[in-house]
Amino acid sequence: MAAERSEKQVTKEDTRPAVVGKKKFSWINAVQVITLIALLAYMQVVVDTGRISKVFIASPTMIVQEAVKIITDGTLLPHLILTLEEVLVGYALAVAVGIIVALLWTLFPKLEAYMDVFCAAIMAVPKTAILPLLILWFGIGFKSKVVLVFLFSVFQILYNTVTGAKQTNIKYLKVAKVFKANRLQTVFQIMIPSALPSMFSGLRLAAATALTGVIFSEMQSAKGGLGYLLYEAQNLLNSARMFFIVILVTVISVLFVQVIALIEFAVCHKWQNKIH
Amino acid sequence: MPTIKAKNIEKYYQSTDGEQVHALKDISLTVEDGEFVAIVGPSGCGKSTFLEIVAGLLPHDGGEVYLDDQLITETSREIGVVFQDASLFPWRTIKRNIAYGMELAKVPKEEQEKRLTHYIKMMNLEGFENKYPAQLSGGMKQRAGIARTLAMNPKVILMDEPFSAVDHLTRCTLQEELIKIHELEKKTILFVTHDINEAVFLADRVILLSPRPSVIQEEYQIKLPYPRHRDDEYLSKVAAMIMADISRGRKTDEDIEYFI
Repeated sequence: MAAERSEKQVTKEDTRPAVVGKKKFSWINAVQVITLIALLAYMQVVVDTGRISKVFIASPTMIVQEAVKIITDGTLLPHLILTLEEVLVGYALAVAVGIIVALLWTLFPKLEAYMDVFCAAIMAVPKTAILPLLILWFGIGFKSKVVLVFLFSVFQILYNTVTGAKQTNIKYLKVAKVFKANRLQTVFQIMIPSALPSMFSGLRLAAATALTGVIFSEMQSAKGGLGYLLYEAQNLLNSARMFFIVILVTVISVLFVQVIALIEFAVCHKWQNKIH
Repeated sequence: MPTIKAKNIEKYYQSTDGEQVHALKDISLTVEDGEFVAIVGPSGCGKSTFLEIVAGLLPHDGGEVYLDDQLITETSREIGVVFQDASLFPWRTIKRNIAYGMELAKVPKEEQEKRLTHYIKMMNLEGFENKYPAQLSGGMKQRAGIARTLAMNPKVILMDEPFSAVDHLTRCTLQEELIKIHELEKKTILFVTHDINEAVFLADRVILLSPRPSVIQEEYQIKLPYPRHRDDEYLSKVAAMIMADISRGRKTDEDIEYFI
């Protein structure tokens, strides 16, 4: 009797997220779309009638024209590729180092006690302030960008993972103790899985800041990249190009974060009752 | 033959405002082989603390715990613990949760599979092996928690308010299943609960702990064979007696504050 009841409950819980996930197109969405169209139309009108100089604001049609131009004449692609390479290499390094150090700290709390103050000190330095030094050490090319991206991302990943591991539910630790798990088993089988949600939130945050870091450093001094292109467009007073690059960078940032969220979903969704 | 022998257990702890609290005072308890003992008492009296000391999960400040005349200083695979809310790992499937203890104990794979099949069937979890705990109701989770403990085949099972988080109907079913397991597997069970009716329905012997500092205030033998009926007059009488003793215990210790 009780088993029957429970089974019914289970199927109900199974279907619920799917139902919640299906969003209906409501009147709020309609108003949002209208607002956006109105805004774009207004931009178009004020620029076309010359009420605001096109040096300051580009009209939507100008932005589209400029986009088509730099995509088709091959201006954009090398810069886009360079920026993506810098971000991905720096981010991958930050993920690897952040997670490995987090693992070591969890395994050897004494190592954390020793390293923590140094890491906290480096983390406290505004990363943008050490860019001049990084350029001095690594040049204005690829390497200095990778290092900056790394510094922008690594601490978020490290500290989120370590904090997640520390917040492992005491109940799970008691179970491990009852079944006589050793330290290694406790860390790998219980503390690391417990840290995953927090680790992924670190990975998502770091993905967004990684892109910020690379664009900033490319604007300061570089031979290429989207930040460099943006800086160049500013010098040429090409507002349409600036608008387009800002939009492009935003889209890349959103996609980057979404990819991480998808990986998180693939890893964790089976056992989490919330849908992210 | 006694299986569990706790001698003169003392426990102090620091409360949040820095005061030293005397939680358990000179508690001596012997649980015989195959016996089902329930511990009841007012909330905050240290029932769970005592259980965790017996399990080897908590250090204590005096006295000893023996399992078959062997001094216990840490957790033991001979002593299984079932926790209040099952405490399953959310990232493991039900089957892998039940197998957790056997994996650590390096039980051979075929033997693991054999026991898994047996206990999954016994606990009515067939069809749920590959579900995750978040997909199960509270009662099913607790079944899996019990299966995880039984799969290790411990001599003694300690249970810390295992049915307090499930609804009333499920609780009744689980209680009946527990009695079956107790009779079938001849396990020695030490069961902590705040539900007096549950205690008298399940146990051979009920221990009443007093408010802090906890001492054993009273012991009751429940001389009624299984299967028992919930509305049995004798059980109701014993339950009423325990209730009366609890309020009496409160009155005599009026100067003590028992909130946490």
